[in-house]
Amino acid sequence: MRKISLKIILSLFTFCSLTAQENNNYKKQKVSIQDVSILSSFYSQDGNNSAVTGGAGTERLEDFSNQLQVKFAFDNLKKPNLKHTLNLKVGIDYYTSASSDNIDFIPTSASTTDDRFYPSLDYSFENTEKNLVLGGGLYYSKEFDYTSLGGKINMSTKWNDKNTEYSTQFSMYSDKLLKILPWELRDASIGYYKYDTENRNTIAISQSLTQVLSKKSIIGLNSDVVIQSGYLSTPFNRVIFSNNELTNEKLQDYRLKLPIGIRYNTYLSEKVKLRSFYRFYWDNWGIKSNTLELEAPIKISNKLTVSPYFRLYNQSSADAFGTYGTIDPSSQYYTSDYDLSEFTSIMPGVTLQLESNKGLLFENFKKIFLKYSYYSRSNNLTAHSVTLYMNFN
Amino acid sequence: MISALSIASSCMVVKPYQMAKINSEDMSMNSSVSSTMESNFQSYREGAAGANGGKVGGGCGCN
Repeated sequence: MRKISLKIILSLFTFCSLTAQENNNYKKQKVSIQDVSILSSFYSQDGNNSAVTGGAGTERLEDFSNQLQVKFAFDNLKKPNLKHTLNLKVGIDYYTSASSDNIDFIPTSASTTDDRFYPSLDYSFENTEKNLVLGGGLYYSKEFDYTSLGGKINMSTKWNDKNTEYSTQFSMYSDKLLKILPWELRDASIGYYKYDTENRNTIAISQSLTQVLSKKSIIGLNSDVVIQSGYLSTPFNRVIFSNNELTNEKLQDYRLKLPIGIRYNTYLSEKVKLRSFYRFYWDNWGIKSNTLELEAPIKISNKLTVSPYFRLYNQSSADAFGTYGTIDPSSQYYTSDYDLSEFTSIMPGVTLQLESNKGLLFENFKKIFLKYSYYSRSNNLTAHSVTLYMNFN
Repeated sequence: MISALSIASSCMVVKPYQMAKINSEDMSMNSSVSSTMESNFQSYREGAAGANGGKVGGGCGCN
């Protein structure tokens, strides 16, 4: 009995030693929540060129968006130069749209409401000794009439004493949409609320190159090649031809987009920075556009920064665009969506930001900002946007 | 992009320990966090998108 007991004790001791060894291996990896941020915004717009009613009618819409982002860091304590990061983001939008109410022309209903749920997961691996980052991500979006599944892979590398950085990303989206036609164009024999589904696919290749110019300035070049195919129209957008015939929007089933942008950031003084961005855009639908953005963060105190902002945008009309009652019925493609018309827009704004490494109300609460922007298009669409952001780490 | 790469490599080199100002968040070459929600509604209300790290099309019922 004593010999058996001794054997049992020795076996247990050996087992515990092995387990401790395995536990020691697990302890060499440290998992931590690096960062938590909350982003909320309220957007409100109005205009009188709704695409749902053929380019005439209310464009009133409110959207309440919320995003929660959590970053996890997986540090290998034996190899501190290797860093793994997992970024989980969940977004929920809730919007009401007076123009969507006019898809069905049900006069007693309140404005149509819908919500959108969009989680995403991004992973990145960084080798700080080799200045290399590799990553990938998955994306999902769901609203009543639109579902999207997407993925991406990306890479970035630095050289020249980290003065020069090159990044590239490949992403794909596979989307399905319900083909909700305007009420008048539905087939009553199969039921007013039976919808076909259509597919839409997007492939994008993005590249960027940044270069440090001095201790106080940096410049970057970004370019994308985007190819979309499938059903690219919005099925419930009405079009009224010149002969008063009603139909719905019909756009090409192929779109090539080529935007190219340049960023330049610099210190104007010790307390004032300038962030600037210019983009030229071209696509095969006939749209060319120019975008200019300027932002000047001004450090008022150690904690408070005020950033005035201004954006100027202009675009030419898509070839298929025509206003209410002006489009030739023999046209191959046609739309009265004023988002694809010729216009200029301005967007002034201001951000107030409080930030402290020691914490604002408590230690982990590091940053909060509030931004207001006013958006105005030359074709009579105006909008207000308020954004609140909080960061904890 | 290849020409830009060649030119970029020949610029003055700032040592990593001299990059404190360049590495501040306001100097990031990405779109600022404050622009995230705005670039979303711009992708719906405008024909152009992309080259700013935001939406390029797809993933939503945007343009």
